[in-house]
Amino acid sequence: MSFLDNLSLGFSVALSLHNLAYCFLGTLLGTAIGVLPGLGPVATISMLLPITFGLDPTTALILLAGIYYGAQYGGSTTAILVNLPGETSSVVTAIDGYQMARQGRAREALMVAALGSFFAGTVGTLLIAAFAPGLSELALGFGAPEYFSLMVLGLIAAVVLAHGSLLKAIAMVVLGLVLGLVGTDVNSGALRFTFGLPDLFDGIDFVAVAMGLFGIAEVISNLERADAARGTVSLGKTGGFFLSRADFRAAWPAAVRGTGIGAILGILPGGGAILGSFASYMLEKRIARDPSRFGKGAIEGVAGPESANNAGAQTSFIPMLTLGLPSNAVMAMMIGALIIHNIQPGPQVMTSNPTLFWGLIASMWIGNALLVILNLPLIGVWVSMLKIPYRMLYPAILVLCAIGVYSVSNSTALIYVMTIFGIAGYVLMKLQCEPAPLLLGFVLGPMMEENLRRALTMSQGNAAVFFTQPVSLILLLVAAALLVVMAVPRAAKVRGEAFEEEAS
Amino acid sequence: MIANKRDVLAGLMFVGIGVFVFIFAQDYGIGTAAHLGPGVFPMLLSALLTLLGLAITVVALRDHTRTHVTLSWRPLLVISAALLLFGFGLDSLGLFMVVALLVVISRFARAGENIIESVILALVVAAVASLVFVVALGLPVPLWPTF
Repeated sequence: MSFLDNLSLGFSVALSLHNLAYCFLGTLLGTAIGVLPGLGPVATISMLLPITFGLDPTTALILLAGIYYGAQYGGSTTAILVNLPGETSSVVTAIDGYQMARQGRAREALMVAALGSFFAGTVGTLLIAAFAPGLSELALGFGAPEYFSLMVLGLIAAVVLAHGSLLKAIAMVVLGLVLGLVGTDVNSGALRFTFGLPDLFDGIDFVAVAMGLFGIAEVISNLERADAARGTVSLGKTGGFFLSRADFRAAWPAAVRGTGIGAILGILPGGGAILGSFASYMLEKRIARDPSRFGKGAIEGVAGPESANNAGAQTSFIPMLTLGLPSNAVMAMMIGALIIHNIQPGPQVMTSNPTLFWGLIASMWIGNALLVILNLPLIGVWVSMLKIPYRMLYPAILVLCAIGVYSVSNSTALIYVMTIFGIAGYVLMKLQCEPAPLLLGFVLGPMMEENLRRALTMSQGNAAVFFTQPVSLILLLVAAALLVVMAVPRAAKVRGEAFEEEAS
Repeated sequence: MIANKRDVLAGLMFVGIGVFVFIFAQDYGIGTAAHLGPGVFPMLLSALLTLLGLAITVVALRDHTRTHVTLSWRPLLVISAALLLFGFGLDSLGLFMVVALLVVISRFARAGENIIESVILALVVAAVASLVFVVALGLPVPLWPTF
């Protein structure tokens, strides 16, 4: 099928009234979540995952994807209006966006963020449509050894690019893989790590893990701090939304550059939307004629990072859809959703479920358009939502989590599992161990073991198969190279600090 | 004296989990190289986890950054207790009651919350949750206490 045939198939799916309604609902919910600080897209998707069980998989994914990019967008609204990043990816937007708002240019900042995001979303969607078929065709030729090595590479790349300690992040991935072992072994039927509890025979429930680690643990950790006073900036007097010619001229090149950076970094595992916005801000500041304007309300400082984070949010779907590899925690949730709907993630999704694949992609573009059309008039609603204090919000979040996890299989056991993971997640957070790599490992664990065993069976027990198959070897070499590159400067830096200590 | 307590604790935690899993995995059977038993992958992973934990511990012991871990016990215990009670009570007390209890109890996670506000919030959230999940979405749980 040609590029245009694929897209028209996608649009015919996404434009059905049913899917359009869920796309709208997803972006709206996502924006609301993004606006509220302290409630991230991973927690939200895990809360809403049970609701999607009754939908068909395409509609479910359209809804969940809408939440993801809606949240990116909503996060920037909070960043601009109250100088609080609603999402991590909008940390940079707060710098110049809030200054613009203080100068009475809140509307311009919001407008630039919206248009930049829309442009980036459009480019991102086209990139997925253009590159995904080739990539999955390539991956369809992969056997078990290649798959195993690909997962090793994916997991390593995801932790190398994430922030924080590399060793801890790898340990968290392995811990996730271990948790993925719990339950009945598919090959032998043996029960592993179930401790005689029938509720664990099918493995630890994915929703309970995600909700505990990202929902409950976040609430506990947020409760350590007092409610921050949120001073909302007024929107300014001008009635409509428009950009002056000068603003537009300053903003569009930044948006184009941001889209490029964000799109590339988004494909890389671990990158997602966050890395791109930082990189774009650095670039804009470096190439500006007068870098001192940055931090004082430079419109490029909003246009670039906002485009970058949205482009990254779109292109991070590429490895998930074509290879079945999650590049960040949100994508791990998407894979979880596919598995719950009995769709084996991987390169075959495009050929076996073309309506799901292309429908989802088309819906992303529609969702981005909806965001621009609907959200600018709704700014007032978001501002009033920002006035809900956290002390009234968190009990409602807990209720949603508790009912949500119960409804997965109508069993109270999952509430206890979620609570345990909430406690564990909070302790891990205190030990500065990021929960996202754990979730990636947890999702990939069973698939990794399956491919490891299959590869060894095919090679009659010869473990060298991972190094003699050229594609597998290359993937493993890239993974090793990534580790070395990241480990060396770190080692040098630690040594440097140690020497300084001794000298003083 | 250990300066970087946080990372030493993190490392020891991974070692502990690794050793525990490794011991348990012994019983699951190794099989043959061509047909791996259910014990092999757990053993590989747990050995790796133990090594990583050791590495984290060693690096942290030689690190001079001062860190410590303080857990906020109040929110941790109150929120956990509130959720567990929700699970225990759901089938007998019904959704409305357990939601209201979850809200009221969880509000004790921080000192000085207004109790009247807690009660009003509990009633509102319980009413909305009952309407949305039981009446509209048909969640199969009792709405009111059954004795």
